[in-house]
Amino acid sequence: MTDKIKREKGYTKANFLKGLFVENPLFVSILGTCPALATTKSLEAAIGMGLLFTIVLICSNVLVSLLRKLIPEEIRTPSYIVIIATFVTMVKMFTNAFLPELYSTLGVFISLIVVNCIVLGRAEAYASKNNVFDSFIDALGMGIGYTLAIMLMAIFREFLGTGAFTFGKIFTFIPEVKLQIIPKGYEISLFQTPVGAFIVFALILAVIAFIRNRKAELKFNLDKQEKIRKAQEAKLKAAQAAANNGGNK
Amino acid sequence: MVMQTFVSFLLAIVSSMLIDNVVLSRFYGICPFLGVSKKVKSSLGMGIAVVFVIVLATLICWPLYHFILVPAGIPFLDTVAYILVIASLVQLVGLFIKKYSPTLYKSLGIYLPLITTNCAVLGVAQGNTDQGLNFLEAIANGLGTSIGFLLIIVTFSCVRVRLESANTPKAFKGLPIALITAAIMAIAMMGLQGLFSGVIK
Amino acid sequence: MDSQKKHYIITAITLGCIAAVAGGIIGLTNMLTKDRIVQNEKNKIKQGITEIFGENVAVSEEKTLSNSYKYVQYYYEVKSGDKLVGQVFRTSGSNMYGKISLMVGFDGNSQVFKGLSIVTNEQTYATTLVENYIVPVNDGNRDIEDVSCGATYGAKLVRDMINEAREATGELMYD
Repeated sequence: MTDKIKREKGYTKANFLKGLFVENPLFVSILGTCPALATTKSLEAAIGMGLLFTIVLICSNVLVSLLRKLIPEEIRTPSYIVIIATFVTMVKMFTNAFLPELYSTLGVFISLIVVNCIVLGRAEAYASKNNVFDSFIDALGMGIGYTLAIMLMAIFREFLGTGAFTFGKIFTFIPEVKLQIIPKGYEISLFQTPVGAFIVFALILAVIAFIRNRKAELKFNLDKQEKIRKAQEAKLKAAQAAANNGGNK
Repeated sequence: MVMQTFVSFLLAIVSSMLIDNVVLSRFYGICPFLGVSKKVKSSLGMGIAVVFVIVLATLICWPLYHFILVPAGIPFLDTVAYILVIASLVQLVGLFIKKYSPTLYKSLGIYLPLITTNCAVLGVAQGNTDQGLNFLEAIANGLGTSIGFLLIIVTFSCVRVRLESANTPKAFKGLPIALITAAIMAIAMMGLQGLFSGVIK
Repeated sequence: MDSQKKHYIITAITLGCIAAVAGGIIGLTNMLTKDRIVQNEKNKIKQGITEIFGENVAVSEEKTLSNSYKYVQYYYEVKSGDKLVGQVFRTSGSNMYGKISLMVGFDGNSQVFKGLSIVTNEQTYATTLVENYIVPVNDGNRDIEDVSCGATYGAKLVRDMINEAREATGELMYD
């Protein structure tokens, strides 16, 4: 019994963390790229987008998991789409009512969470097969992983494109603060345009690929050394055996 | 008057096709743009399927909003209605093509399910009503956007085929260099801004 | 065959139920948030008028115009005590770069342009438009007709909206 709980605990942690790094939806699975490029002009907008996205993902994953035995096989995709669209519309309305600045900044991209491949993908691949708690943890991990990923992109784009970080413009309940780091006139406004979005995304992916290649190379070298060592050992053993045999003769 | 309407219709198509390109400046449909552009043939198939679905979706969603949802007092159900229309449209188009042209289905069929989750389709349908375009403008927007998508995805796949054999740094192999290419294409599109500044007064 | 039919019926009913419940929930959310959204809009308009005319003014209910315009929707009368201070026109327009709605204020007696306030700005080059066109026009540092500003299409739209509002003041004068 205790053994089972321990395994479950480890599983939950791994289930949460996989969305953050190993299976990061944006940088590893390359899903949900549209909002990642379109809403990362400012850090605040990216945080808002990530927040709304996480809420929708958690709600849809939990509900799909709850209904997984009720929904017949043939109408799975349409029902999931309706469920997701419902949550998106609700989130859209609440944003419009309580955070109107965020609503007007994100615009049509709130509605476009409906067609974000990650939400439908997690519903199909995970929530339709697992229990409610696991689906919740999965959605939480994926949502936070995605939020962190688009925040990283937004940090580069806002910093290089405007030379400053501005807070309080979208989340109006905190006082407006503007941290001008690069003096005005020296910023590279290209990073605020679509071009900058593509470049930042490309560079982040390249850095990830670089690190991965390095790791693979290191592992390859270690394996090679191990192989050589083993071969040498085998040779030594064979030589010894031969010597022993010779001795016997 | 008719001539003027026609000219503005054409201008709207060209401007949503080139100047304000769906993929490179509005970021709709990046997933298929990166995913299905490794071969010219498959990108052509995907592009044509998208043109088909977007034009049909525009023709259905705009009247649906203005003649059913608004009179019934439920315009807030727009997103749900649009996504249902698009999903069933994709299924219907698939069935239709399968029945009447199996050869076309063979080349287009596998891309059809992907279109449901293509932001461009929902984005156009939603944008048409959010921005309060009239029916003619909505059709121009739909046509221009979808043809723009076709144009860009085919061009991009042509470049990508060449990139496969190019000697790129190891870390940039695959997606990163493709994204850099997309960035350069976006710069080219930015150059077209103000193309019609003399025509549109 | 019969069981298959039954299966189809159950499937259809399930889908129908999900859609109906979804519609109901969205309707409920709409009812909950509707008032608040309207209130937000009103607050924003009030704030915009304060930006143009200063604090101590009274704003009338929204008034309709007799002519129909492309961008101008309705207007407010701004009064200080009994004296008419000016009119504010609510305008809204869109082009291929997105939607923009503005409050355009005019002096009540001389019909001179008084100031702008942004309600929503969803233009692609929104920041450029505001920094290079709307703020200078508001401060009187840029001519309204001078639209080449790095976000020229948006600026043209804003200029057209201001000019139409100016036309609309003419209608009020002869009233």
